[in-house]
Amino acid sequence: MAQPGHYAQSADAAATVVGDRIVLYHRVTRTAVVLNPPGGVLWRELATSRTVSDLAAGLHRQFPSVPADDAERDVHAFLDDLVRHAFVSHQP
Amino acid sequence: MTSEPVPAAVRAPSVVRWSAAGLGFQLESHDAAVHRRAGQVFRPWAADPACEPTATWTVEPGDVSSAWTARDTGTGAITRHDSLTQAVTAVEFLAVQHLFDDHLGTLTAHAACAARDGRAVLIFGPSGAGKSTLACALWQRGFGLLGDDTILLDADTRTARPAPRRVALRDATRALLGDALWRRLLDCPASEPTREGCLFHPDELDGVPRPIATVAACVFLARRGAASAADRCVSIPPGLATLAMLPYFNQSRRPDREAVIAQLGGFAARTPAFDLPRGPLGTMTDAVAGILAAVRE
Repeated sequence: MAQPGHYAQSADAAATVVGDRIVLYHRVTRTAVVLNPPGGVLWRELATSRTVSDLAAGLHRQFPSVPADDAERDVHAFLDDLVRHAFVSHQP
Repeated sequence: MTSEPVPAAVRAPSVVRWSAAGLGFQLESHDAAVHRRAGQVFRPWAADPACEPTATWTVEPGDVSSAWTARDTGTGAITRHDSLTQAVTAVEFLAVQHLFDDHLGTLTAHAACAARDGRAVLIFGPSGAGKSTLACALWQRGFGLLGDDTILLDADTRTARPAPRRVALRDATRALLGDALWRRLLDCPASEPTREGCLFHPDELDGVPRPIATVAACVFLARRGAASAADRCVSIPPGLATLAMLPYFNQSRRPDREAVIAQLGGFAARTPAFDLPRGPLGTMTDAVAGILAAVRE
């Protein structure tokens, strides 16, 4: 479960749009991941520091059919994964 | 006598190779369509036989959950894509990222660059500042387009080289190019429409290979600390220009970055730099042409 605090894109992450997805590359670990469109929305939000609530609200705005609770759960899963792979940094 | 088809798994894959900055890259696939597409995308970038492959990707049809996969054979990292075109585009992006290794001997800049008569202007600016649009506008005025995003720089000789990546234009640039040219551009073999615009090789339209040129001047777009009210180009002292360009280079976060600062400082001392205020594109391209004329050595 993602921790309280602020999240932002890591300075070591590079990104590009390919089709309707975003490809991320970590310049230190040399890991690459592909984000689906909702992940892409969250990634763009993370260009500036955001809380879980900010991100869930952003996701809900873009995908109104996603209930708010589900949006927050998706954000937690997204952040857990991207923080673990160091694409996203966390500031308590 | 009959011959049986050789299973794909035991057939040797076809390989497309390319190089940049002393690094070799290759893309392997058993699929002829991938080979064709990679041939178009990486065509302008010659493979240096002296370069051992730094990275190799295999692109193959995926399982039921994804149409195509690109696998980095060194790290084992797999990315999944909806089409082979997108898988090849992902490899193009991932290969260029190797050029941002901070231990690479070459300086790699996040910058656009255009050149005329062997003299280049290096364009720095944050994402969205209009580097690609300005570089493309210069291309429309007869400049050669080295690149809109990544440039390889030899700071000692001030030589700028293109990085192996297609130019990316956003839809907003369509008005600048006009619909007819935009359509011609999309019809080129290596072109690819994207959600935000398109990717293309300029030489497929103008027939001119991407130039290698000596950097005669640097311009900054939306530089932090620039006089926001300025309505004309303002010269930037070399020390300030060095600090302003440092974050755009791959080696900016090296522990021994004093050496990089010294190298860029030498480059900045010999290369005039200017803040270029935002304005109509025609005014901005006039300003760049004026700078190149004024700094003629």
